[in-house]
This record gives sequence, structure tokens and C-alpha cells, in this order.
Amino acid sequence: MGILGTFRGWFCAVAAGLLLAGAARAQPLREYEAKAAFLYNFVSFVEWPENAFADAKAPFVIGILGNDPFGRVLDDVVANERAKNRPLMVKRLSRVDEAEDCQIVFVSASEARYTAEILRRCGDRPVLLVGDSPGFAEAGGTVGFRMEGARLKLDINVDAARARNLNVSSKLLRVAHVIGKETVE
Amino acid sequence: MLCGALSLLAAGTGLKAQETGLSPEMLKKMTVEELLNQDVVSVSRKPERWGQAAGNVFLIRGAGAVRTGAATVPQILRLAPSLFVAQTSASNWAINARGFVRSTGQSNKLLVLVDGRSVYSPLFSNVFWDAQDVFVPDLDRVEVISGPAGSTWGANAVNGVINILSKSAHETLGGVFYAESGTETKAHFGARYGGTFGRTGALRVYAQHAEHDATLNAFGAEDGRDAWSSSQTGFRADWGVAGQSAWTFQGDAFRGRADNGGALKTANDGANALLRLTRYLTPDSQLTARIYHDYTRRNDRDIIEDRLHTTDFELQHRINFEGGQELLWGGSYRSMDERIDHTVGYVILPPSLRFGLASLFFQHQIGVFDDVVRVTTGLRLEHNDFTGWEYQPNVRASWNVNDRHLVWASASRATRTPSRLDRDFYAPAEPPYIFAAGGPDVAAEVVHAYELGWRMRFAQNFSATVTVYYQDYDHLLTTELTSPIVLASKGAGRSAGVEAFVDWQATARWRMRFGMFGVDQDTRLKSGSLDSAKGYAESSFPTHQIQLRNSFQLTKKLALWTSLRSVGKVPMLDAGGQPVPAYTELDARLAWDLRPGVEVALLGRNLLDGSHPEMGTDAARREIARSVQVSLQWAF
Repeated sequence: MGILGTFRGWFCAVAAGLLLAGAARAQPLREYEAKAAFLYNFVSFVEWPENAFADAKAPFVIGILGNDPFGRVLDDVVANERAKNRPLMVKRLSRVDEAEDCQIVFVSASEARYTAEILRRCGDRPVLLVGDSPGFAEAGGTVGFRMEGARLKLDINVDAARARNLNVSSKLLRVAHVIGKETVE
Repeated sequence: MLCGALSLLAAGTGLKAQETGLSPEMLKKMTVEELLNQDVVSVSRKPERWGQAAGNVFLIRGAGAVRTGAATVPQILRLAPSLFVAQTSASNWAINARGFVRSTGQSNKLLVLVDGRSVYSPLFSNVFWDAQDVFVPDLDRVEVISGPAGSTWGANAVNGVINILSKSAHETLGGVFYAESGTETKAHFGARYGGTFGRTGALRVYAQHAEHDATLNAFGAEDGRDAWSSSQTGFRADWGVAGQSAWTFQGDAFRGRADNGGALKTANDGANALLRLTRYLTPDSQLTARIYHDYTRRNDRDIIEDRLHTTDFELQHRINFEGGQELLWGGSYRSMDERIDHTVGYVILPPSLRFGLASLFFQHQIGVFDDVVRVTTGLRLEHNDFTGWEYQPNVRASWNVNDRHLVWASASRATRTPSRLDRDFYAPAEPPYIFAAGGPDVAAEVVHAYELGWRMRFAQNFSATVTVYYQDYDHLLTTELTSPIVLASKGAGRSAGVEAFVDWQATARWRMRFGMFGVDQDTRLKSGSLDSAKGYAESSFPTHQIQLRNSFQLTKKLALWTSLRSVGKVPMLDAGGQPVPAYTELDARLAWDLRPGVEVALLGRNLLDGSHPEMGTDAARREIARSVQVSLQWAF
């Protein structure tokens, strides 16, 4: 058992070393950190109708459709957070039909070629469809991310939002590029 | 205990994570203006593509399992197209992928983990499915990996790994109650309640009980010989801040009793507790520490009673580099303390034994050619007290041809550690022995596997996977008819086969899934072997299996699920008996959403025949009867 004893000692040393390490370096804002922060922000800048949730206990779910570019970032941002008085969580979806219980669906760039089909299958369900490929909002999605140089831009299709019974806050519309006809309430 | 590393970890969480990087807390505080007015850098962290996992992994989601009415782990595993699942008696199942099951139903080449806790018996080299209950509404997913995965999961992951994972307590707030009754499971009911505590914590507790009816005898008649019951209770708490330190503490206790035709029963008792800490050193460097203790007692009709205490500590460090490289490395140590009591007639020497398992592992993943090709290399070095050091390497590459096609290839080596019964069993109790297990002469079984896979997606609603493999086995366990009879490692063999799965969402209301496997298994004996089974000890596996599952949303409140399976005949060559005939069976479930949160369902299993056998030799064989169950689930 000598070897195991040595192993155990070694193990402790490594554990201690790793835990004492951990001074983080200053890091620039990364594209998908910013997009994750946006998805988190949308929760408070958009109002969903009551029928967007299966029942009073149902969680608030952000779905990721297609390739997940976030890694852990989005999970970390929403972890232990609550939205509209419900637990907030992230789900990975492989097909749009799995989006039934989601309030936000992030449509990954990998799904660009299926945009029309995805929009058709979602119909007018009260889901905030956020696209990561060019022209997503113009095609009928609700929100589109767009890169302009090194800056991230938002396109918001207010007609599409209205058709899905979603109320987007004017505060968000002010900083976004608005597509469709904005009505004053 | 275990060098106090865990207390160190606990102390470490007191140190606030330095906020110089972009922690989740900082990201959350940024306003939309700040987000839009700052330059961003586009580096991929670790993009997960559809079907990226280079391997044959089949995911059974908890919600999907609930919709099929599956109430036990084997019923859930029937949903995996790569697995052969055969019921040998009311409380026993034979489960494996890619061949190699004994006529008794034992399969020693499949590793099973429940929330990271191994439930593979080091005494019997088997998983006792009657001791593995889960509370199905709280099940997050079951990952079914077919093919060797020793470099990731350790010894005994020779033909596959089953990873049963429960939901975080944050996802199970509120109450659930369910009850089921019918001709197969006479009563099955359970409840869970979950709530929050503190600023970040969530906790749930559950309890359930089941009374299962007996199967029929070989002539299709009732004899009530193998009815069984099981009770289980448990909890799970999750707290902390995921981007900094997240904790999980969970535990279960269970008790099961099964009839065996006589006065004596098989008794299963056990309890376990697991503590896990995930701590972020930086946003790209994550440390996970986990410790569990597990106690099980299994008394099989007083013929043998096994008491096993397992303590396992694992430390794992994951680093994501710029550009998508990932390094995962760590180590673990497991201590097992076992005491065996038994009737006269044989001995297991020594009856009390403490033995250990230590391992070191690393896995590196890198994307090349603009991330179109990803290459993963992994190695696990493991030291066990029976055969010493074993190495389990793996290299795999995946090529993302385009949005629609992904091709992968893998080569790996995995081992099975000899069990205590393989080494330490002697009969009669005193020398001269007529039967002696192999002692130190039994080597670890080794597999070398080569796999090739293709995942395709022709449309958003249509995907398919095909895997072909060739696995070469050595040092397979044999029973040598010498004097005394001894166990040895004089078998070898290979299995080659194909696994396929198609998933088609035909319309918004109709989803169809098709799965199949075909396997050709061939075993041989090395020169001088006098194996009692003539090399066929683990050949009770069908050459093919086909599944066709449909789910229909009939109306807004009414859903129908059907599952048709066709299983090839199962040879019984080792016992020289007749094979179990091929069979085709249909399961169907009609569920009605009475109102939000309340579902009633009618479930029929094995509808095509009055009864049919799935495993076992002629007269000892049990038959599984057609059954009807009604169930109610209420979420509040």
C-alpha cells in the first residue's frame, strides 16, 4: 500500500496548491460573455403573457438551439437567479420542437440555414427568439445579434414581438436598431 | 478523513473569487449600454456542436422517460437503442451493449454510475438492478455510452457506461406525487417536495415504495416465486454561486426484499451520501472535488451476505485555453471495506478485506483546421490491489464535414478488474478444494476497440447516427476443468457490429424514432484451456435488436406513446441449453393531461403475447406476462 500512501500525499499537495492559486488575469469582454449578459438582461426588459408558462410553478427557461457557443458562461450567469418570480434556467435543445417550455430561445449560428423553418414551427407562441446569424430579425425573428466591427449590435423586430404577444421595454428599443412599426402605447 | 483536502476546499470558499476577470456577477451588473459600447473579442470558449461528442452516446432525458411510463432503471434503459435489456426474473435484468452476457444474466463489462457514484459490485462484477431505484420525476438524464470509456470513467467501462444523473434541487421546487397500480407493479407510489433556503440554496426530499408482482414460470404459469418490493428515500441540496463555488450534497437510503420461491429472501439495504464542490479559480479554470460514502448489504437467501463500505474521493481540474483547447486532469482514490458471511460449503478468503483503487487521468482536446477537426486524447492510469497498474488510453477525432455531417473515429483500450469471486472463492470450506478461484493468476480482461461513427442531419427535424465497431478482447475469464477446478484468463474473442438511430419529427404532433443494433460475437480458447463453457461463457446476447417508437400528441390534452421492439434469439451455449426464442413486443401508453400539473395514464406492456421469456436456461427460465398499469401524477 506504500504507493497508495504516497499517492494520497501527492493528491493533497496538488489540491492545496490549486486552491491557493487562482489569481485571475484581467480579461477583455468576450463576444459570448456579452451575448450571455444580454440574454440575462432580456428577461427584465421583456414582458411575457401568463400563457407563456405551463403553470404557476414552471421555471423561466432560456433554450439554446443548435451548437452551444456559450460553454458555461450562460449557465453561470443565470445560476441561482430568479426571473418573473420563477427559477431561471438554461436548456440545450437539438430541435426547435423541444422549445415548448422555453420563454427565450437563442438560435445559434449553426441553425442559420433553418431560420425560416424554425420561425414557421414556432408560429406565434410567446417565445422571444434571439438569433445569432445575420438577417435573423429581418426574417421574422424577434431579436438579432449583429457584429459591427468590434461592437455588438441589437436588431429588434417589434412586429414579430407584437405578433407573439411580447412587450419589449422602450429602454431596450432605444439602444437597438428597430425593425417594423413602433407603436406608442 | 482523506487528508483534509475537503476541509481545505471548504476554507477556500471563504476567499472571495478575485473580481479582476469577468465573473458572472460582473456580467450581470453590466447595463445594455455598457454591453453595446465596449469592444468584444470573438474567441471560442468550447463550442458544443450538435452531435459533437465523438462517441456513441445516447441521451435519455428525464422528461422523455416520464412520458413512457418507465418506473425502474431497466425500464428507462429499454429506451436506449444500443442496449440489450432482458428481464431474467421479476427483480433481475441482463443489460449490456455490444455482446458479452452470461446465461445467468450477469454482464461484467458495463459500468454504471448514479450521480457519479459507482454501483458496480467489486464482489460479483455485476450491477444489481433491483438495488438501483431512482425517483423518475427528478431524473435529469441518463447518458448511455456504448463502447469502451475506461480513459474517462475508469475500470469496467469495457462495453459501455451508464451515467444516471438527477436534476439540481433548483429544478425541483414544489411538490410531486405519483401513484401507479396494475398487473405487473401492484403498487408504486412516491412523493417529492422541494424548497429554497438561504440566498442561493435549494433542497428536495423524496420517498417512494414499490410492490412488484412475480413473473411466470417456464410453462407460463403463476407460482409467485419472485415477487419483490423496494423502498427508497433521499434528498439533494444545491447551493452556492455557480460561477464561483457551487455545492451539492445528496444522499439516499433504500431497502429491498425479493422472494426466491422458498422461505429465504434476497435482501438489499444501503445508504449513501455525496458531497461535491465545483469552484472556479478563474472563469476558464474549474476545479471539482467530490467525496462519497456508500454502504450496501446484500443477503442472497443466506447463501452469501456481502457488506461493502466504499469511500471515494475525486479531484478534477478543467482548464479552457484561448482558441478552444481544453485540458482535464485529476485523480481519485477509492477505499473499499468488505465483509462477507456465508453458509457452509465454501469460503471466500479472506472474508474481510480492505482494498483500494487509485487513479490519475488526463484528457486533452484541441481543434485544428479552423476547428473543423477536433482531436481528443486521454489516458487513465489506475492501480488496483489485485492486478496492479492498468492503463486505459483513448484517442478520438471528429471531423465536422459541414452543418449536416459529422464523422468521427476512435481507438481505445479498457480493462475489467477481476472481482473477488474471480479470485478468492474456494469450495468446499476446507482443503482439499474441488473448486478454487484464480487468485493472483486471474488477469484483468482487456479490450482494444476501434470505432467509426457518422452523424447526419438532413433537416431541422430529421437526424440519424450510425456507428460501426470492432472490439478485440483478451484474458477473458474461463473455468478450467482441472483438479481442482480453477478460474483462469484463457479466453479471447472479438465482437463487431453496427448501431444506428434515426429521429424524425414528422409533424408538429408526431415524432418517430427508430433504433437498432447488430452484433457478431466470436470467442475462442487459448491452447491448453479446458473451459467448462467451451469459450461460450458470455455469449447469451442476441445478434440483433430493432426498436420503433412513436409519440403522437393526439389532442391538446391527449398523448399516445408506442414502442415496438424485436429482439433476436438469445443463445444459451454455455449451459448447452435451448436458446431463448426471438420475440417482438409492443408497449403503449395513453396519457391525459387532466388539468395543468395533473396527468393520468394507461400503460400496457408486452401486449402481443400472454407471456414471453427474455433470458435464462430452459426450465429455470422466467416468463414476462402482458401487463396493464394505470398511473396518476400530480405536480403542485
